[in-house]
Amino acid sequence: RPFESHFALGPIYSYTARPSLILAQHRQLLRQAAAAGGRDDDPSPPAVWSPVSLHRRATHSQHNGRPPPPSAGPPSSCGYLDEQFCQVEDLQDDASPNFTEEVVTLFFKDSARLISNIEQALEKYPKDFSRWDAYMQQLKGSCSSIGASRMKSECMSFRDCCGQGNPEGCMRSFQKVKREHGALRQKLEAYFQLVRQAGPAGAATRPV
Amino acid sequence: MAGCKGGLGGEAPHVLAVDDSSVDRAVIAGILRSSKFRVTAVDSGKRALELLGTEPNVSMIITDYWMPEMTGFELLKKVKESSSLKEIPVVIMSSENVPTRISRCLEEGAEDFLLKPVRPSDVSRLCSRVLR
Repeated sequence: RPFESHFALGPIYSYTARPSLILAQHRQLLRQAAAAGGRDDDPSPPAVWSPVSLHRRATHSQHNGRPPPPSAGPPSSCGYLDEQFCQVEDLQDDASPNFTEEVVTLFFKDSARLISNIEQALEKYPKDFSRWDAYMQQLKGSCSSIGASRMKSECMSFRDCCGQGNPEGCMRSFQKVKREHGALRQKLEAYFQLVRQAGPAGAATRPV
Repeated sequence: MAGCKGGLGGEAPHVLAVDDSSVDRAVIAGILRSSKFRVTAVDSGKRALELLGTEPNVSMIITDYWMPEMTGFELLKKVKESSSLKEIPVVIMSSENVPTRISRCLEEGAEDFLLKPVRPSDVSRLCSRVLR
């Protein structure tokens, strides 16, 4: 099972631990694994690589009593998500066990609509920079709310081009926004698949 | 995070969150609930005023600044002009740090102005200051 081989969660799970503690430990391991994981262009680890930002430095983990492998790159160079994503994750609890995924689902629904609006505006309203900017401001706001830092950065580049009255720059930036959107969707889908594979808290079958 | 103390009878304070962004609404509602507030989230100033007309026990309003049809500033003005609503603290949120916007809101009676993305620590600060 790919999840086992890359995240080695065996020693952490305990039948006697409280479910919320198991979940908290699991999430911590996911973050550590992400921090220790490969870069975006690294062929390994596999597609279930977690997108969580490397801002949280991997401390010596408890799994197998060994520290995690060193980070593959500088913290900010491949961070699709920033600290805000961790803040959203921290709001997840037993009362709202799927909060993060719900918020992310809302984000992709909202962002797809906004991207479509921008695409139409670019075509229907040439050089209407204030209209383009207004739409992109909304998209940037959504990115900011879930910590989608790379996508937010491209949104800001687009807005800069609007401010400069540079339509070609806007078009190029917009393509980058769409690319980052697609990449983020893939990463987060893989991440939540991983979380689901781990199973609900307290339902672990791995021995201590 | 430490929650806010309840109001009369230990009931959790009821906060009305107003934001046209579904993402921001979900996040602010999550933050408020984790601070033990009771939360109603609506997507417009118009809906906020409708709810305020029927719900007597709103302890605080937290609203986005930029919304279509009715901005958060316009909502703030309507609340402060109403004899029945003017005592409710209003907090404005915005993703843009525009000093003139902030001053205008505070002069109009806003209790606080938060920059987005709002953090749990911002809400903790509000709890101690606004809900006395």
